[in-house]
Parts: sequence; structure tokens; C-alpha cells
Amino acid sequence: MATEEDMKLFISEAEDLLQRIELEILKLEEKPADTSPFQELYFSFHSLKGMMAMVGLENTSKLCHSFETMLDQSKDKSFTKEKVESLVDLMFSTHDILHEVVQDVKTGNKKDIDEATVNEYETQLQGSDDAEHLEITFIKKIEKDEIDSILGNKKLNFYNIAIQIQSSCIFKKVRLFFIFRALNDIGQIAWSNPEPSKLETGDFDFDFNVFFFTTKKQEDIDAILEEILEIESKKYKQMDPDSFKPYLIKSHQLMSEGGKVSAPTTTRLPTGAAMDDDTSEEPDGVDDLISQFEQDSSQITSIKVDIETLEKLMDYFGELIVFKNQLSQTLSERADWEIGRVFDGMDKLFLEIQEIIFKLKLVRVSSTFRRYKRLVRDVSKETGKDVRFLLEGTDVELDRKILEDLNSPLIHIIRNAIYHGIESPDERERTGKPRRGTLKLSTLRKEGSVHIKVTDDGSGINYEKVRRKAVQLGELTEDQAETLSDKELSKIMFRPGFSTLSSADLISGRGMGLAIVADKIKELSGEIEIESTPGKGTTFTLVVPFSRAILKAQLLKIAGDLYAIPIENINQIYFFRRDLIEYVKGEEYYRLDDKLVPIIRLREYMDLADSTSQMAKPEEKIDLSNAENLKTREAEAALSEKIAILCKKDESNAVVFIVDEIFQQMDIVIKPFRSKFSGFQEVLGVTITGDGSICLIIDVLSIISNVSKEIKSLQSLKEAAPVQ
Amino acid sequence: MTGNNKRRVLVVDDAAFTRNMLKKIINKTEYAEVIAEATNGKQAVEMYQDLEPDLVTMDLVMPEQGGIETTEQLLKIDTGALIVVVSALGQEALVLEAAKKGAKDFIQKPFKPDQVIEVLERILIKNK
Repeated sequence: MATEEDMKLFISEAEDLLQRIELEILKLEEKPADTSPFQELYFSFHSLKGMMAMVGLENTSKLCHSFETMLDQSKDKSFTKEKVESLVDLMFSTHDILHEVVQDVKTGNKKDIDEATVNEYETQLQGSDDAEHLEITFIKKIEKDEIDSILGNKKLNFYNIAIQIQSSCIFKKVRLFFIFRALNDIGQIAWSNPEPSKLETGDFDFDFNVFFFTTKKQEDIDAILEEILEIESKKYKQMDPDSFKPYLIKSHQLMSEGGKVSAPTTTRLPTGAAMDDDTSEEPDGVDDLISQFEQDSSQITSIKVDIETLEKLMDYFGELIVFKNQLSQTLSERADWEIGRVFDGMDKLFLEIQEIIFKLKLVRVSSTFRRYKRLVRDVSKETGKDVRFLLEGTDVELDRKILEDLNSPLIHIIRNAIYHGIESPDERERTGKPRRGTLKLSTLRKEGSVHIKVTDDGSGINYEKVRRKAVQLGELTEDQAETLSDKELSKIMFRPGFSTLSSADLISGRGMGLAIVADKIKELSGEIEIESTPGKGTTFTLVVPFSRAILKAQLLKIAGDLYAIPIENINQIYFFRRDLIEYVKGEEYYRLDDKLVPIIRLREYMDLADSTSQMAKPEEKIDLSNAENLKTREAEAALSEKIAILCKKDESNAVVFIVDEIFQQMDIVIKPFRSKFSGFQEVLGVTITGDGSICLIIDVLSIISNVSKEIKSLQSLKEAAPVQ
Repeated sequence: MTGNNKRRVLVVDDAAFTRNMLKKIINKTEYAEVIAEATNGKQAVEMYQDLEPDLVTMDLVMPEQGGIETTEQLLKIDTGALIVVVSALGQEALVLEAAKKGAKDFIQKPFKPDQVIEVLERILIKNK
């Protein structure tokens, strides 16, 4: 007899198991496609079964047993989502019953459940189990009392269908399977000739008869069979219920005999007998399962590390790099070979570690991008739009932090695209588009950056309206508005003043918050662009660095100060030659082969950015009072300028930076830097060099895009050049 | 822009040769186009979720994860998934298994363009 101590143990263990069961059911509910919780559930129900029997709760034990059996058999089966859901419901309510039983024990009112409850659950479990039919021919068990009701049903039609499969058919059984599956979808097959067991094994020529009953008419059956390949011919003969009866009886007998042709799925546990077993004597099958389970869980191939630890590791490593650079500097001054050799060895390891750390920070974009499916579904529902959301390139990797920071801009863009870009189904139909709109989020790794495009096939941006609004707001003069290309125009849409002032209908509602989006992307040292074709759709392209922790940079000197340009942005470094300077409409270009690339004198660029707005025209930049000053500086510059650095963003956007000197390349750790006092915003951050001095890292891509704002693209320059 | 009305096909096969053959044949039709190719089952499942193709051609024997398991997974994700198995000679048992998991039909290697088109047409017309 169980002591009080035993009962305490029983209660705590049972509660524990029930908690585990609940947890696993919840997992299952959340992800019906993943049936891995079945195994844990199986173990839990199995343990409960034994425990309940030990304390004399026979019926409760039986209830657990039915679930255990079902779960055991389910291992080799596939379940539809609906089925899993119905199982989840069943298990939840069973969990509640068991919970009540345990609570009763706890309060000293041990009470077994009644047999009817067990039977009810057993029927329900069997109802959700359709294993009882033949594997290929789908012949289901027909209960004896069902026969008469089938025959008496006036809505049913009974057929003898003679089917011949093409003699060229190689996989007869598969073809048969398709035929029977199709028929079973619209009715039920009672019998066949040759008999079902022969068809199951493929023991037939190419023709056979099917005895079939359905509510459908012959045309409907024919239409279904017409869709199946490799059927040579088919003939239908309607039968009266009486002549059909023998086939129903045969079907009933076949299944009742247990005449399953294919091997029935063996259950690992003897079904009824296990009930009386001492729980300490587990049947072999369970041992196997447990050892397999232990094996599975003992192979740990990945561990979880919290982000904070990871961030710390990176920070420390970043600082280590600064020291390493300092050491390198000191060594180059001392020329100590002995230490130098050790340093080289260390340097190599640094590189290896850096690469690993680099990888640690990278995650696949799928980790967050897939979540947008839900967003799209919800927003579509909210707005009454029908939107198909597609993801491309989800295996591209990106710095985790950057990916995180991209989240809100992307949500914003996606929401806007559905709200204002994609039209309602009716409207789309009117304009000859498919009713369902498409929104695509594609990710592409390109050199050092990641390109993320959000493309919709909606109404597009009305550039005319943007032009008018820009003039109205004083962002552009009438002339500028006339000549500005759509692409350049779209850049204006990101300006804070422009976007907040624009009303929702102006640019299909994209005005709201675009400046905020642009700001966020800029914080990531990224770029944003809009391309749109009215009536066809809009594409937002975000270009972000795929990591920004540590990068290789070229150190350079301008007017006595140190700067760095990321190596990935540099295409070529030349000795600066004055004779290669060409003038087009008063602006300077550097001739490289057959191309004229705009020149940026970083010295001037930064000074001018300080004193005038970036949008001012070059001729307006010369302030009379400053003219003297400028001349002296220009003269100084002319002497010191020695190096030309070509930086390309893409084929048509590039600049040549003229600098004074270049030094070594080094690994730099970017520290965030936001300048409030300077107009020069094109800075990625700062870094500390080997000798401890601070140097600004120049955001080349931003400069390039700002420059192309003021000048014409390279393409047109090429055409303009010969005229000069 | 993705404005056309062609049915979108995902080709799953570890052999580039087969993928190319299928792509050529399918892209020649007016009603369907290959939008992506996966070289194993795992990739196929991911691509399916991302791209929601209208039809999948599924090789049965692949490294990492085979066609049967993949067929099963795809149908769990989307009970309406249209999957056509691509099999070699003598794989009847495998094809039957895939069919039981829910594959809609099969194409047999080596295939002729007409055979592929016939299967595709029936399935795509049936499941508009």
C-alpha cells in the first residue's frame, strides 16, 4: 500500500509530468508542422500511465494509455495541420482531466474517472486515426451496420468503372494510387477486380474494375479521371444497390479479418498487456527509444551565448586591435627583429580570430525577414488588399546589429508599400493587373555591402506631384524642378522638411516618415534609393555594410590631419597629375582612360561643408570676404596634393579624392562619432591609430551620392566632354 | 516588377544538368517559369516558404535531405503544395511513398520535353 510519503512523491511527479505535457502541447500548437514534441509527450503519458495504475486509478491509467499508444504509432506517420490541431485539443482537455485527478489526490479525495470518459476519448482518438485502410487502394473498413444505410441512401450512385492503364506505364502501382486517391476524394471505393490485395501488390495487367459509390454523377467522375495521365480507357456502368451489395460485404469482411495486405505498423509496446506491468520493467522498445533519445541529445553541435557576452567579446577584441596597432607602430620604429617575429605570429592569429568574431556577428537575414510575412498578412487584412509576399536571398548574412537596426525602417517601408503602393484588388483589376499584388523583399550581397530591395507592383510614385511640391516648398527652383531627373528628385523626398510637410496623397502616401527611415539608414552608414515607374510599382533599395565592427582602411593625410578611407571603397590609387584635370561647365574632373570622374578635394569639401549648405551651387560658394583666404589655401593645396584616390559606388557614380599623403593600411575599429558642430556629416566614425591619435573615417559612399546631387551623372558627362 | 501571370515553379534537384533541362523546358512554355532552384531538400523548404511557388519539381534522391521527407515537409507547411516528383528508373517504391505523402504526379528520368509539359499542364490546369 502506498504510504503518505509515496503519495507526496506521486503528486509532485505527476504535477511535473503534467506541466511538461502542457509545455509540449503548447509547442505543438504553435508549430503544428513540427511533431517533435510527440516523443516527449509519449514518454510523459507513458510515465503517467504507470503511476496512475500504481495508485489504483485504473481508468485514468487507461486514458493515458490511449494517448501513449496513439503517440507511439504516430511516429511513422505524417499529419495534416488540421489533424495535429484536433489532437492538440484532445490532449489539452485530457491534460485538464488529469490535472483534476491529481488535484483530487492532493486534497485527499482520490477519485478515478469513469469508464465512459475513457471510451469517449478512445473513440475520438480512433476517429482521428485513419490508418485502417489499404495503402494503395484506399479500401476502408465498412462496418456491418453501415452497409444498409449506404445502400439505402438515395443520393448515392453506384458504379462499376473499368479502367485500362496505358501499357507504356512503368510505375503501375503509383498510377493506381493516383487514380484511387482521386476517386476517393469524391466518393468511396468498396471493392475492385482483381481483388484489392492483388492491386496492392501490383499483381494485375493493365486493366481493372473499381466498385465505387459517390454522390457525384458520371461526368464528374470522368472529369476527375480525365486529369490523370496514362489512362488508356475508362468505361462506366451504373449499378443498382442490390447488385452492389456483395462488394460492400466483401469490403467489410476483408478489413474485419484483419486482412491488411501491407504490413500493419507495429507498435513498440504490447497494447493492453503493459497495463499490469511493473513500471520498473520497461519493455525493450522503450529502452531502445531512451538510448536513441540520449544519443540524440548528447551530440551538442551548437551552444547558445547571450548577445551581451558576444558584444563584450567584440568590444574587448576591438580594443586589443588598437593596442596591436600601437605595438606595430612602436616596432616599426625600433626594428627589433626578435620581437618583430613574435609580433608577426601574433598578427596572423589576430587575423584568424578577427575572422571568427566577424562570423559570430553575422546572422542570416531570414531570422528577421521571415517575420515580415506575418506583418504583410496583418497589414493586408487591415487594408483589404491581397498581397503575396516573397522573400529572395534569405541566406545572405548580415551583422546582427545592423539587421536589428534595419527592422524598423523595413517595417515602415513594407507597411507603406501595402498601404499606399499596392492598390485594392478591384482597382488592380481595372488597370489590367492581377488582383493579387506582389511585394518582394530581396537581399543580395554585393562586394562589401548588402543590398536590400523592397519591390511592389503597385501604383508607383507620382513624380509630377513631387516636382510641384518641391518647388512649392522652396526645395527646388522651377528650373531645377524641370531638369532634375526622377532619380535625383526622389532624393529630395528623404529630406526632413519635405517629407513631414507632404500630405499623404502626394506620393502615394510615402511622405510620412521617409526622412526618419533615411536617417536610420544613414546611421548604419547605409544608403537608400527609390526607383519608381508610375502605374508599375516602386522599389526601395537599402544598401548597408554587412558588418561594421572592424575594417581595413587606408590612412591618409590632408592638410596635416589624419583620415581613413575603408579599403573596400577604394578602387585605385594614383599619383595625382594636374594635367589630367578637365573642366566641364566650370567643374573639375579627373580623366581616367575615356572617363571623366568628378574630383573631390577633401580639404575643400570639409571646409565648404562647414561654411555653406551642401546644396549650394559651386559658384555661390565663393564668399567675397573669404576670397583672399581661399586663394592662399588653394595655393597651399596645389603644392601638397600628391595622391588621387578613385572610389566607385557603381558604374556611373564615382569620385576621385585628392589627398596629400597616404600611409599604411590598417585594421581599424570604428567608434561611433556624431558631429554636431561641423557641417561635415560624411563620417563613418572615428578610430584610434597606432600612435594614439584620433582619425576620422570618411564615409565615401555618402560623399559620392551627395556629389551626384550637384553634378550630372557620368553618362551625360561623357557626352558633354567632347563639346568642351 | 513581378507583374506577369506565369505560374511560378521551384526546381529541386542536386544535379545541375537535370535542373537546367527542366528549366529550359518549363521556361519555354507560356504559362510557367522557373523562379528558383534548390539543390537539396533543406534549401527547398526554405525557398518554398520564402517564394511560395505554384509548383515544385522534386528530385527524390538528394544529399542532406531527400525528396520524400521534403515532400512531406512542404505539405505540412502548405497543404495545397503542388509537388511533382522527378524519379529515375526503378524507383517505384520511392515514387509511391512520395505519392502517399501527397505528391501530385511524377516525371521519369530520362524525360522528353513533351512528357514534362504534359504533367505540368494537367496539374496546373487542374489547380488554377
